[in-house]
Amino acid sequence: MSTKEERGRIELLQGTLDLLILRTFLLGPVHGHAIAKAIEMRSEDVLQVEQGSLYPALHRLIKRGWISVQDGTSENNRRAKFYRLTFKGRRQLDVETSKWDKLAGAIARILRPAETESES
Amino acid sequence: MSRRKRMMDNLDRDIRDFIERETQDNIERGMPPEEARYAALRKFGNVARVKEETREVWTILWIEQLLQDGRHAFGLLHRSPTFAGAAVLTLALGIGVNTSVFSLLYSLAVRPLPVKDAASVVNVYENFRGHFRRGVHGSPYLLSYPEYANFRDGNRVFAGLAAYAGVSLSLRGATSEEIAGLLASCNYFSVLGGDIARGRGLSPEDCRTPGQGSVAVISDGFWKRVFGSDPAVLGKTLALNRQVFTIVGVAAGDFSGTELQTPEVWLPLSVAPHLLPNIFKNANWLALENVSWLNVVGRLKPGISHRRAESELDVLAHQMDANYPGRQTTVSVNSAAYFNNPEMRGVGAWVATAILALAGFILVIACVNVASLFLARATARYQEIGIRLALGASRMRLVRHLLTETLLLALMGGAAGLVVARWLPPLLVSAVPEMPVTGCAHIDLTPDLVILAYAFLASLLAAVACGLVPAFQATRLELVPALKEEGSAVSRGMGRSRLRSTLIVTQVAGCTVLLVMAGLLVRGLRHAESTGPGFFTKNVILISLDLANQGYDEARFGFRARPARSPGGPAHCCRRGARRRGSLPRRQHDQRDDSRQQGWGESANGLGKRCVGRVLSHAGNPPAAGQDLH
Repeated sequence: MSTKEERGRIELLQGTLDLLILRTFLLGPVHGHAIAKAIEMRSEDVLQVEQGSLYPALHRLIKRGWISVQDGTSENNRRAKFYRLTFKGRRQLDVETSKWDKLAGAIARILRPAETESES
Repeated sequence: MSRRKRMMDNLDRDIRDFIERETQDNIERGMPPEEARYAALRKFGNVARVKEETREVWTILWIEQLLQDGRHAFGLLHRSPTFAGAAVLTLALGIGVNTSVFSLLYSLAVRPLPVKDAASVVNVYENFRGHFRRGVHGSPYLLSYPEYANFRDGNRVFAGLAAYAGVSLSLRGATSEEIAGLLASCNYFSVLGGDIARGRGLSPEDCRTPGQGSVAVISDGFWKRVFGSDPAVLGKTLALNRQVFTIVGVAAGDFSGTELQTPEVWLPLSVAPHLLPNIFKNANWLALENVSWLNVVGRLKPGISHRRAESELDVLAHQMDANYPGRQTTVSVNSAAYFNNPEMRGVGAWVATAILALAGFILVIACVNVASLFLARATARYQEIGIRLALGASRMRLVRHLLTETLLLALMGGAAGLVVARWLPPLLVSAVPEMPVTGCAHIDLTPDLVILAYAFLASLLAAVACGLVPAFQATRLELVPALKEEGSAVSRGMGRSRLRSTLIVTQVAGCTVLLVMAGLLVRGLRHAESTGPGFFTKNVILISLDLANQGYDEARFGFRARPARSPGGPAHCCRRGARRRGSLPRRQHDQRDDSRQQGWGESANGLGKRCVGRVLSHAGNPPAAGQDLH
C-alpha cells in the first residue's frame, strides 16, 4: 500500500507548495485547475502536484489572509472560483522566495562544496 | 464559524469544477470520456481526504473530532455494556485505591487545619545548626517558652501567635483515667478562631501568673462522654494530675484544634510547671530557655508572605543566639497542617512515596487488565477497523478514536473511583483492630480540587497506559485480509499474541509481587507480636503506670530504676519507649540533657527507655552473663 508514501510526499511538498501557489498568482486571478496546470507546465512536468492537495493549501493561504477568493467567469464562460493575491500575500511571496533562495543555496553549498568554491 | 461554513460550501462546487476541467482536458487529448473522467479522479486523489484536510484548515479539528469520537464512544458503551462495565469497574478499583491513599496523605500533610480562614494559619519551627546542647521534649524543632514569648512580642507580621504542648493527664474520677490534654497559650482559641459552644475560651487572665490558672476548657466529646452533655457543666471541677481545674467552657463540636488527636481538655500554658514531668532539673518549664517543647501556630496579618514572616523571626532568633555561642537558629514558617514538623516530614516524604508507589502498582495491574480487555475487543472489531482504514481514515485518526473510548471508560472509572475513595479509608480503619477511635479527629477526606485533579490525572494516565498499545496494535493490520472475513484468522499474526502474553506476564508478575509484599507485611506484624523478648514471658505482666502524675515519689514507687550506663553489661532496660501494646505511641520523653527522673533511664540514642527493677530474675530467668537490673 502506498498510503504512507503518499503522505510522505505531501508532507515533503507542503512548505514549498504554498510558495509555488503564491508564485502562480503573479499573473493575476486564477481558478484552482489553472493553478495546478501552471505548476505542472512551468516545472516542465517534473513536479507532479497531487491535485487534491491544492485545496487544503489554498484554504490555508486564505486563512492567513495571503490570498482572497471571489466568483468569476472563466475563459469559456463558466462560473468558477477565482483566487488572487492580496497585498499581504505579495509581501509574503517576497519573504518566502528569498527564504527559499537562501535554503536552496545553503543546501547546494553543502552538497557540492567543490563547485561552489570554484565558482566563487 | 460562518466564514468556515461559507468556505466549506464552496469547496464541493470548486472540486467538482476542477475535476470537470481536468476531464475536459483529457478528452481534448483524445481520451474516451469515461476513461478521461477516471484519469482525472485518479490524478486528483482521495476526494474525501482532501475535503477533510481542507476542513482541518478551518476548524480546531481535534475538538470536532473529540466530540465525534465521544459520541462513538458512548455508542460503544451502549453496544457492549458488559465489556464497558468490566473495564470501568477494574479502573474504578485501581483509581479508587490510589485516590484514597493520596487523599489520606494529602489530608494529613498538606490540607490546611480545620480552622477558620486556614490559609493564613502557619506553623513556626526552629532549625538549629552548630555545636550546642539543648533539651528536647518531643521534637528538636519545637520552641521554648522564652523563645515563643520573644517571637510573640517582638514581631510585626502575626495577628496572633499561639503555643501549645500536648500532655497526658490522669483524670481522677470514680476510677483513674488517662486523657489527652493540651497546654495552650491563652490566645489559642482566638488565634485559631475556635468557637466555644458554652462558657468562654481561655482568656489572657488565665495565663497571667506562671504556675497559676486553674481553669479548663473541655472538648465537645469529653463533655458528652464524661458529663453526659450536662448543661450545667460550667463551674464544675476536674481533678487532673492531682490539680483541681474549674471548667469554664466547652469547645464547639466542629473545633478539633491543631492536633490529629483532639484533646479532651485545654489548660492554660501557665500551669505547665505543675503538669509536666520534672525532667530537665528545673521544675519551671516556662523559664527554660534552651528546651524544645512548644508547638507554635500563628495567624499571619493579611498580605504577609511566609518568607517575610521567616525573615522577621530570623532576626529575633539571631538575637537569642547571642546567649548560646556556636548555635545558629533559622526559623521556618509554613502553612499549618497536621504533619508539619520538619522531622516528621523528612521521614514522611519517604513513607508517602513508598505507599503511593505501592498504590500505583495496583493501578498498573488494573491498567494491564483493561489493556488485555481492549486487545481482545480489537480482535473482535478487526473488520470494522479494516473497513475504516480502507475508506481513507488515517491510522492516527483511528488510534485517536480508540483512545477516546479508553479515555471515556477511564474517566467513568475515575468518577467511580472517587466514590471508592470516599468509603474505602473508613472501611480500612474499621477493619484494623485496636485503632483508637475515640478522640481521633475526623480526618477530612472530602474531595476538593486537589483530590479531584489527582483522580483526573490518574484516569488520564490509566487511559494512556491501557489504551495506547492496544490502539496501535489494532490499527496495524493488512488491509486486504482484514476486509475478507476469513482473513481475520490469518493476519492476527504473532505480534498480537506476543503482546497478549506480555500483558498476562506483567499482570501475573505484578500481582505476585503485591501478594508477596502483603504476605510479608502481615507475617512481619504477626512476628513482631509473637517474638520472644529473650526470656520466658509466661506469668510476666507488663504494666505501664503514670504514678508520678498522681504524686508518687521514688520511695513510694516500690522499685528503682538505674540508668543503663554501666559499661560492659548486657541490656538493662527492658522496653524501649513508653508504649502500650495496641495503642498509639505516647509522647516520648526525649532526653538530650543530663537529667533523670523516677522511672526514667538515661539514653544515649535519644530514646527513652523505661526500666523496672529485677525483671529478669523476677521472671525466673537470671541473666546468663552480666548482671540483672536492680
